[in-house]
Amino acid sequence: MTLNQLTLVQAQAGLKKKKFSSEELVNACLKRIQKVDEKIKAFLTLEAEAVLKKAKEVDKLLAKDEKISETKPLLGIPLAIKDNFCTKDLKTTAGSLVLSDYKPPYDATVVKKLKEAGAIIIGKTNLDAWAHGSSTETSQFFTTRNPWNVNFLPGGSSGGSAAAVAADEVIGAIGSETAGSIRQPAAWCGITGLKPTYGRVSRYGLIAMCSSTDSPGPLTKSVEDACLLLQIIAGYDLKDATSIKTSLPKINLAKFKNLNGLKLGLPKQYFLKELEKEINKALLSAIKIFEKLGAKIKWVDLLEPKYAVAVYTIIQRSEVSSNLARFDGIRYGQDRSFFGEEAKRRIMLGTYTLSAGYYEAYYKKAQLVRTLIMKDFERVFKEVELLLAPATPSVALPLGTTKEAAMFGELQDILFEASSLAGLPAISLPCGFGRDGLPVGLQIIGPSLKEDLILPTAYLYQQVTDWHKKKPKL
Amino acid sequence: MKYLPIIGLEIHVELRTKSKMFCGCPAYHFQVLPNTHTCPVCLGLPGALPVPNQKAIDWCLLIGLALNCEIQNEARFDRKNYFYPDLPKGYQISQYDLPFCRNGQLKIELDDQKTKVVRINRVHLEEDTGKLVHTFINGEKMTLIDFNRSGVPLVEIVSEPEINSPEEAVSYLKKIQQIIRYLEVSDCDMEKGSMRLEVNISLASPLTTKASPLPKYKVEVKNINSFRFVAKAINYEIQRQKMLIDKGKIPIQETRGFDEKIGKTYSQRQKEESHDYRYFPEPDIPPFIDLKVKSEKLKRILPELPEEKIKRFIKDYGLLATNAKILANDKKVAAYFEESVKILQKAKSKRQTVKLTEIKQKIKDITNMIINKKIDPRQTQPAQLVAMLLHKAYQNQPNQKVLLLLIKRILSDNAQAVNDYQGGKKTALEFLVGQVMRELKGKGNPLIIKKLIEKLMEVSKP
Amino acid sequence: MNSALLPEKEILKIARLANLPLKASEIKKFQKQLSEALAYAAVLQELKTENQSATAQVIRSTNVTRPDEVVASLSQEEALSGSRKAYKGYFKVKSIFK
Repeated sequence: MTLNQLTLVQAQAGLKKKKFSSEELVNACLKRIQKVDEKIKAFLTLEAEAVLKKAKEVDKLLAKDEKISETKPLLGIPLAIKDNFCTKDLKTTAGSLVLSDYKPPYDATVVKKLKEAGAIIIGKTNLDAWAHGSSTETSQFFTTRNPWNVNFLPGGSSGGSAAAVAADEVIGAIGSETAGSIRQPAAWCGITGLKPTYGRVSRYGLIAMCSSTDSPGPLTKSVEDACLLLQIIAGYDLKDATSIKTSLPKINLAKFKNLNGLKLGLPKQYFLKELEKEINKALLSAIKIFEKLGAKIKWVDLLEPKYAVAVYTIIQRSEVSSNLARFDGIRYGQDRSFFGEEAKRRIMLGTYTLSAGYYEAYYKKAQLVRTLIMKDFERVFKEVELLLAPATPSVALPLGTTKEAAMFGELQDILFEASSLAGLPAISLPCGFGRDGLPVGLQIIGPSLKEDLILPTAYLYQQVTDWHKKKPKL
Repeated sequence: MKYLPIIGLEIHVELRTKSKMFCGCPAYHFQVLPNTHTCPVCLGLPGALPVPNQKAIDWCLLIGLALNCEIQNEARFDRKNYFYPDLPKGYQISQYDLPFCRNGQLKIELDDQKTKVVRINRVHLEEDTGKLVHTFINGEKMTLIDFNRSGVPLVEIVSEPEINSPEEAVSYLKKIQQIIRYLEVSDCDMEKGSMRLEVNISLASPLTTKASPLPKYKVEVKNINSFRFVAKAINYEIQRQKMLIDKGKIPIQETRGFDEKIGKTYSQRQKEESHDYRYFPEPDIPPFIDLKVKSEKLKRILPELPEEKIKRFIKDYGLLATNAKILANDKKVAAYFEESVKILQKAKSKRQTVKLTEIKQKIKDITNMIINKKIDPRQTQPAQLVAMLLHKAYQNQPNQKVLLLLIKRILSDNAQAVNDYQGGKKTALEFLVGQVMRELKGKGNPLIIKKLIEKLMEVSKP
Repeated sequence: MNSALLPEKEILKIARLANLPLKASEIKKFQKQLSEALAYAAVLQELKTENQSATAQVIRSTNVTRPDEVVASLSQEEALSGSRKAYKGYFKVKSIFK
């Protein structure tokens, strides 16, 4: 095993025990990137020299003061960040030509926290422009490839982060989810993706897509890693009025040995007719494993996902049309003619659904149905404690699938939109393989604020399976 | 044909909070280098988020309470979407259908001692835009933008269209300004831009109000920068609209600017469409609830407002209504007056206790001295003022005519001292005052004498 | 499902409101695609929402504010750093008046 293949937890331990230096760790990742990123194209910006320099400084620090890693849990560990998070003086493009040479004068809160924890930000990863999509194909720069099969898409919008982790180009990464943008690429790339409760992680410095659902979250090689990153990036932020004041409880995964009768619900409506048969098969195996781990399985009913698709399409595009209004080329970036087609399409629809004469029928109605969706989950979580479901209707789709598909994103994310609209926490885990040797993912959705129930449940699954340990041949 | 002017006023008041409405940048922007009081939030940088200023909200509620509004129990911010270079986010965070305050009223005084109640539709909170400077650079017309003002808290006060003359409009504006200054939440100064005005005018006539209670159009007039221009602009607009209606035309609904140099309004050619603001609830800011409870708490810290103060001055100090109004016009002057009276009431001069009956007279004297500007409240402490009043000499004030003659004699007898003073020697003045006092055998008010001498010497300056 | 095409006039109006320059080819394309997207939205009418309150916020926080305190601003240089067209401390655009 090469150093770049380590998980976060392993890298932490290794650095502490002085099995290797930060420089060696970073170098291993850079070598890997050099070798495979031409094919994968996960990175938009890479700061190889600067990063090596930082690693050397870290090693000096560690030599002087061993205890320093106690206050800086990520010290010396290279992470990748999706390019819609503002990084001070480091190019931040949101995957769009509008910001092709934009360097923010400030760090996003998530970035600040990672830096304070000692992490080394190795580079910025590719995404669907403005996070509008589920393929990374609408990036205005290039399309990232799925490390499991480079003729296929990695998913999106956090496709670059997911691919970088799956290809062991980095130890871990940060992405953002509006409705599937962490869970879906995690599923398509065979890694772990956690979407925290809305408001759990500060959005300050995350280029806004759909303000009322955007959630920063980790993309990692294991649940343990996701748990570790969550504990570092979560927390109330004075600069984000929608951030939650309740702190994340401390989560000690090792404590959990059995699910002890945990009521695990299977929403019938999520096991779609059009689900690829390998996905169905993988889910059925997973269900058996959860049963063995002590869960009590129960089939439950949820509102048809098609309603969530409609609600999400309208609310998201409405908020997008407003959030992208600041890009006028005056204070930064290029003018609005530089927007790609997908962005223009979404702005247009959002402008329409908010405009006079249509506001009541579309936006307002969508918000009302959103309440129904939230209440629906509240009802189901009185019957069960967590929900288990497939993540995506299909495994990764081929390059080029999204061209001219007006609703590609929203249809791909059909199994994520409801929980995103309700602001619920959820995780996506690899649970098998499907067509074309591509990974299958399952998702676990929990009630608001219950990351401390989701993570241990997911962790136990990974203790008795090794899907998450498989690596693509590159 | 007699037409009734239908006027509604929209006032924007800049709050003098320390920081801006949605970020911690300093709110003051007067004579500050451009773009030095900005941050990702008020510059509208990607990823920035707004967090509301508690004090700005409290002050908006105070204004609402002072204007007799119903504080709404639930309120929230909304986005008002439109494009303009001074609007960094491409939307303004404002309040649309759930403002903080509604349904207020203001009693204004009309010229003939009558009063009128003007209802207030709403009082809400929003953020200010940046400032545009139009200039030429290398012969090309350019617009420069300074975002120091972007994000400063603004309170918008909207009246119902119940004002029917320029005089009423000015009276309304002055009253609002007085109340806001009393609350000490804003300088509320039209010249400094901390009080801005938009006037909506239309004329009610059989033609314009056919099948509707209000005229079918309204013209918005902007860019009026002082009270004296308000009346001018309104009068001009009334005439302009009257001429059109006389010809059987309904004036176009539009926004017009006011050119103060020529005293006319001019069209700003706004398109109808651009007014589709696509309001929707601000997703970045959670809503506000339980505001009625908060407003009860704020009621307790609401300062005494002009109307109450005037009533109290009349009742407690036996002042004439007109004098009470003048004193209450400026909160600081009113406080000065009361402070003086309080000191007076406690005072005992060296040789006598001020009798109750005399207090009434003394209060009249204090009133007089302030109103007739015989003393400058900024220079003379209340205690000094009272001391002067109680000074025995003051009680036997020489006749003004006699005093003037005496002073003229002293000045002509002391030409050298006069020259010295005019040449810059201040002590010469003291000398002259002393000379007068000597003649009066101490029975004079040195301050008054000093002022009279200064006046005379000004007059006689070559 | 009735997927009536949005008229071209409507597309142009939306583009103006959205301050988006559109090419002629985009207009036709958007007519079709916007109409498609709106057709999906039609399913919402199947659900009864008369007694519901709208949800604009999911986290159920209320009354979130910050104290009236000054925090360090960006320097003028930092503020202008994103723009290629700064002039003597100001952002610069072509005049908005003709």
